[in-house]
Amino acid sequence: MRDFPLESIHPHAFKAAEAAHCAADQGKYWEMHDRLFAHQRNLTAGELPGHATALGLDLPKFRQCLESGRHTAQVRRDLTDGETAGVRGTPTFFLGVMEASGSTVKVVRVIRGAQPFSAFKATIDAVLAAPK
Amino acid sequence: MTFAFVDGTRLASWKLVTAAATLAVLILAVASPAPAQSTEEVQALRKAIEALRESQQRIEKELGEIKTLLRGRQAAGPEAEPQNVVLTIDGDQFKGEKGATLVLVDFTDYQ
Repeated sequence: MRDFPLESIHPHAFKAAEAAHCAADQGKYWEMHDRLFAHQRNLTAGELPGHATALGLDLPKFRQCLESGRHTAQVRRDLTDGETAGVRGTPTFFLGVMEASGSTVKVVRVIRGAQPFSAFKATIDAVLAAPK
Repeated sequence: MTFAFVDGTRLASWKLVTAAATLAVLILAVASPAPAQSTEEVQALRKAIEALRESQQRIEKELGEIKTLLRGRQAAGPEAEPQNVVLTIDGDQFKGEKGATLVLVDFTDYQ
Protein backbone atom coordinates (compact mmCIF):
# COMPACT_ATOMS: atom_id res chain seq x y z
CA MET A 1 0.00 0.00 0.00
CA ARG A 2 1.42 3.34 -1.04
CA ASP A 3 0.07 6.83 -0.48
CA PHE A 4 -0.69 9.27 -3.24
CA PRO A 5 -2.60 12.16 -1.63
CA LEU A 6 -3.75 14.55 -4.33
CA GLU A 7 -3.01 17.67 -2.31
CA SER A 8 -4.23 20.20 -4.85
CA ILE A 9 -7.81 18.90 -4.75
CA HIS A 10 -7.81 16.98 -1.45
CA PRO A 11 -6.33 19.27 1.20
CA HIS A 12 -6.78 16.80 4.08
CA ALA A 13 -5.53 13.70 2.28
CA PHE A 14 -1.85 14.10 3.14
CA LYS A 15 -2.40 14.37 6.88
CA ALA A 16 -4.89 11.49 6.68
CA ALA A 17 -2.18 9.34 5.11
CA GLU A 18 0.13 10.29 7.94
CA ALA A 19 -2.60 9.39 10.43
CA ALA A 20 -2.77 5.88 8.98
CA HIS A 21 0.96 5.48 9.55
CA CYS A 22 0.66 6.85 13.08
CA ALA A 23 -1.99 4.21 13.70
CA ALA A 24 0.40 1.63 12.25
CA ASP A 25 2.87 2.60 14.97
CA GLN A 26 0.27 1.29 17.40
CA GLY A 27 -0.50 -1.80 15.31
CA LYS A 28 -3.72 -0.53 13.75
CA TYR A 29 -2.85 0.54 10.22
CA TRP A 30 -5.60 -1.36 8.42
CA GLU A 31 -8.20 -0.41 10.99
CA MET A 32 -7.37 3.26 10.46
CA HIS A 33 -7.11 2.78 6.69
CA ASP A 34 -10.63 1.36 6.56
CA ARG A 35 -11.99 3.99 8.95
CA LEU A 36 -10.54 6.90 6.97
CA PHE A 37 -12.11 5.59 3.78
CA ALA A 38 -15.42 5.19 5.58
CA HIS A 39 -15.27 8.81 6.82
CA GLN A 40 -13.89 10.67 3.83
CA ARG A 41 -15.82 13.80 4.76
CA ASN A 42 -14.31 13.91 8.23
CA LEU A 43 -10.59 14.08 7.65
CA THR A 44 -9.66 17.53 8.95
CA ALA A 45 -6.73 17.83 11.36
CA GLY A 46 -9.25 18.40 14.13
CA GLU A 47 -11.19 15.25 13.29
CA LEU A 48 -8.29 12.80 12.97
CA PRO A 49 -7.79 12.35 16.74
CA GLY A 50 -11.45 11.33 16.97
CA HIS A 51 -10.75 8.42 14.63
CA ALA A 52 -7.78 7.42 16.79
CA THR A 53 -9.99 7.45 19.88
CA ALA A 54 -12.65 5.39 18.11
CA LEU A 55 -10.02 2.75 17.35
CA GLY A 56 -8.81 2.70 20.93
CA LEU A 57 -5.39 4.16 20.15
CA ASP A 58 -3.25 5.91 22.72
CA LEU A 59 -4.34 9.46 21.92
CA PRO A 60 -1.35 11.42 23.29
CA LYS A 61 1.02 9.17 21.34
CA PHE A 62 -1.10 9.51 18.21
CA ARG A 63 -1.24 13.29 18.53
CA GLN A 64 2.51 13.49 19.11
CA CYS A 65 3.13 11.35 16.03
CA LEU A 66 0.84 13.44 13.86
CA GLU A 67 2.02 16.83 15.11
CA SER A 68 5.70 15.98 14.89
CA GLY A 69 5.32 14.88 11.26
CA ARG A 70 7.03 11.58 11.99
CA HIS A 71 5.70 10.04 8.76
CA THR A 72 5.65 13.10 6.54
CA ALA A 73 8.78 12.08 4.66
CA GLN A 74 7.40 8.59 4.11
CA VAL A 75 4.20 9.89 2.50
CA ARG A 76 6.24 12.38 0.46
CA ARG A 77 8.46 9.53 -0.76
CA ASP A 78 5.38 7.57 -1.84
CA LEU A 79 4.18 10.59 -3.81
CA THR A 80 7.53 10.98 -5.54
CA ASP A 81 7.75 7.26 -6.33
CA GLY A 82 4.21 7.31 -7.70
CA GLU A 83 4.90 10.28 -9.94
CA THR A 84 8.06 8.62 -11.22
CA ALA A 85 6.17 5.41 -11.92
CA GLY A 86 3.46 7.26 -13.85
CA VAL A 87 0.64 7.61 -11.34
CA ARG A 88 -1.74 10.32 -12.54
CA GLY A 89 -4.75 9.67 -10.35
CA THR A 90 -6.03 7.36 -7.66
CA PRO A 91 -6.43 4.56 -7.23
CA THR A 92 -3.64 3.27 -9.43
CA PHE A 93 -2.56 -0.35 -9.11
CA PHE A 94 0.75 -1.74 -10.30
CA LEU A 95 0.88 -5.47 -10.76
CA GLY A 96 4.38 -6.77 -10.59
CA VAL A 97 6.60 -9.72 -10.00
CA MET A 98 8.57 -9.91 -6.77
CA GLU A 99 12.27 -9.74 -7.45
CA ALA A 100 14.79 -12.01 -5.78
CA SER A 101 15.69 -9.40 -3.20
CA GLY A 102 12.19 -9.63 -1.77
CA SER A 103 12.01 -5.89 -1.41
CA THR A 104 11.42 -4.74 -4.97
CA VAL A 105 8.73 -5.45 -7.54
CA LYS A 106 9.18 -5.40 -11.31
CA VAL A 107 5.96 -3.92 -12.66
CA VAL A 108 4.33 -5.71 -15.58
CA ARG A 109 0.82 -4.22 -15.71
CA VAL A 110 -1.02 -1.09 -14.59
CA ILE A 111 -4.68 -0.94 -13.60
CA ARG A 112 -5.99 2.60 -13.38
CA GLY A 113 -9.12 3.66 -11.52
CA ALA A 114 -11.64 1.79 -9.43
CA GLN A 115 -12.13 -1.23 -11.65
CA PRO A 116 -14.42 -4.22 -11.00
CA PHE A 117 -13.03 -7.49 -9.66
CA SER A 118 -13.22 -8.99 -13.15
CA ALA A 119 -10.67 -6.46 -14.43
CA PHE A 120 -8.18 -7.44 -11.74
CA LYS A 121 -8.81 -11.14 -12.32
CA ALA A 122 -8.31 -10.81 -16.07
CA THR A 123 -5.06 -8.89 -15.62
CA ILE A 124 -3.67 -11.29 -13.02
CA ASP A 125 -4.70 -14.36 -15.04
CA ALA A 126 -3.01 -12.94 -18.13
CA VAL A 127 0.24 -12.40 -16.23
CA LEU A 128 0.11 -15.89 -14.71
CA ALA A 129 -0.56 -17.43 -18.14
CA ALA A 130 2.25 -15.52 -19.87
CA PRO A 131 5.35 -17.55 -20.69
CA LYS A 132 8.02 -17.16 -18.03
CA MET B 1 -12.21 11.11 -21.68
CA THR B 2 -13.28 8.20 -23.85
CA PHE B 3 -16.83 8.60 -22.66
CA ALA B 4 -16.68 12.28 -23.47
CA PHE B 5 -15.84 11.42 -27.05
CA VAL B 6 -18.57 8.80 -27.27
CA ASP B 7 -21.08 11.26 -25.85
CA GLY B 8 -19.78 13.93 -28.19
CA THR B 9 -20.36 11.67 -31.19
CA ARG B 10 -23.88 10.86 -30.03
CA LEU B 11 -24.63 14.51 -29.43
CA ALA B 12 -23.32 15.50 -32.83
CA SER B 13 -25.31 12.68 -34.49
CA TRP B 14 -28.46 13.76 -32.69
CA LYS B 15 -27.92 17.38 -33.71
CA LEU B 16 -27.43 16.25 -37.30
CA VAL B 17 -30.65 14.23 -37.30
CA THR B 18 -32.58 17.09 -35.71
CA ALA B 19 -31.21 19.61 -38.18
CA ALA B 20 -31.97 17.33 -41.15
CA ALA B 21 -35.52 16.74 -39.93
CA THR B 22 -36.14 20.45 -39.43
CA LEU B 23 -34.70 21.19 -42.86
CA ALA B 24 -36.99 18.61 -44.45
CA VAL B 25 -40.04 20.12 -42.74
CA LEU B 26 -39.10 23.60 -43.91
CA ILE B 27 -38.47 22.47 -47.49
CA LEU B 28 -41.88 20.79 -47.50
CA ALA B 29 -43.42 23.92 -46.09
CA VAL B 30 -41.90 26.06 -48.87
CA ALA B 31 -42.63 23.55 -51.60
CA SER B 32 -46.26 23.03 -50.58
CA PRO B 33 -48.79 25.15 -52.38
CA ALA B 34 -49.59 27.22 -49.35
CA PRO B 35 -52.51 29.38 -50.29
CA ALA B 36 -51.70 32.56 -48.47
CA GLN B 37 -47.95 32.87 -48.01
CA SER B 38 -46.60 36.34 -48.36
CA THR B 39 -43.28 37.08 -50.05
CA GLU B 40 -41.84 38.06 -46.68
CA GLU B 41 -42.77 34.70 -45.21
CA VAL B 42 -41.17 32.83 -48.10
CA GLN B 43 -37.99 34.87 -47.76
CA ALA B 44 -37.89 34.26 -44.03
CA LEU B 45 -38.25 30.55 -44.61
CA ARG B 46 -35.48 30.57 -47.20
CA LYS B 47 -33.21 32.36 -44.74
CA ALA B 48 -34.07 29.81 -42.09
CA ILE B 49 -33.26 26.98 -44.52
CA GLU B 50 -29.93 28.59 -45.37
CA ALA B 51 -29.07 28.94 -41.68
CA LEU B 52 -29.95 25.31 -41.11
CA ARG B 53 -27.78 24.23 -44.04
CA GLU B 54 -24.84 26.09 -42.55
CA SER B 55 -25.53 24.57 -39.16
CA GLN B 56 -25.71 21.11 -40.72
CA GLN B 57 -22.38 21.64 -42.45
CA ARG B 58 -20.80 22.74 -39.18
CA ILE B 59 -22.11 19.64 -37.40
CA GLU B 60 -20.87 17.39 -40.22
CA LYS B 61 -17.45 19.00 -39.92
CA GLU B 62 -17.42 18.49 -36.13
CA LEU B 63 -18.54 14.89 -36.57
CA GLY B 64 -15.70 14.33 -39.02
CA GLU B 65 -13.20 15.75 -36.54
CA ILE B 66 -14.54 13.53 -33.74
CA LYS B 67 -14.31 10.46 -35.99
CA THR B 68 -10.71 11.33 -36.84
CA LEU B 69 -9.90 11.68 -33.15
CA LEU B 70 -11.52 8.34 -32.33
CA ARG B 71 -9.68 6.59 -35.17
CA GLY B 72 -6.42 8.01 -33.82
CA ARG B 73 -7.18 6.69 -30.35
CA GLN B 74 -8.07 3.23 -31.68
CA ALA B 75 -4.88 3.12 -33.72
CA ALA B 76 -2.86 3.97 -30.63
CA GLY B 77 -4.23 0.81 -28.97
CA PRO B 78 -4.47 0.16 -25.25
CA GLU B 79 -2.16 1.89 -22.83
CA ALA B 80 1.42 0.79 -23.27
CA GLU B 81 2.68 -1.52 -20.58
CA PRO B 82 5.10 0.02 -18.11
CA GLN B 83 8.70 -0.20 -19.12
CA ASN B 84 11.39 -0.73 -16.51
CA VAL B 85 9.27 0.35 -13.56
CA VAL B 86 10.58 -1.12 -10.33
CA LEU B 87 8.90 -0.29 -7.03
CA THR B 88 10.44 -0.71 -3.63
CA ILE B 89 8.01 -2.29 -1.21
CA ASP B 90 10.31 -2.57 1.75
CA GLY B 91 8.53 -1.44 4.88
CA ASP B 92 5.17 -0.92 3.14
CA GLN B 93 1.96 -2.09 4.76
CA PHE B 94 0.63 -5.16 2.98
CA LYS B 95 -1.87 -8.00 3.08
CA GLY B 96 -1.18 -11.53 1.93
CA GLU B 97 1.88 -13.71 1.86
CA LYS B 98 5.22 -11.98 2.30
CA GLY B 99 6.91 -14.19 -0.29
CA ALA B 100 4.17 -14.02 -2.93
CA THR B 101 5.27 -14.15 -6.57
CA LEU B 102 2.84 -11.48 -7.75
CA VAL B 103 2.37 -8.20 -5.93
CA LEU B 104 -0.33 -5.59 -6.40
CA VAL B 105 0.87 -2.16 -5.28
CA ASP B 106 -1.95 0.30 -4.68
CA PHE B 107 -1.35 4.07 -4.77
CA THR B 108 -4.25 5.51 -2.85
CA ASP B 109 -5.77 8.75 -1.56
CA TYR B 110 -8.11 8.88 1.42
CA GLN B 111 -10.10 11.98 0.55
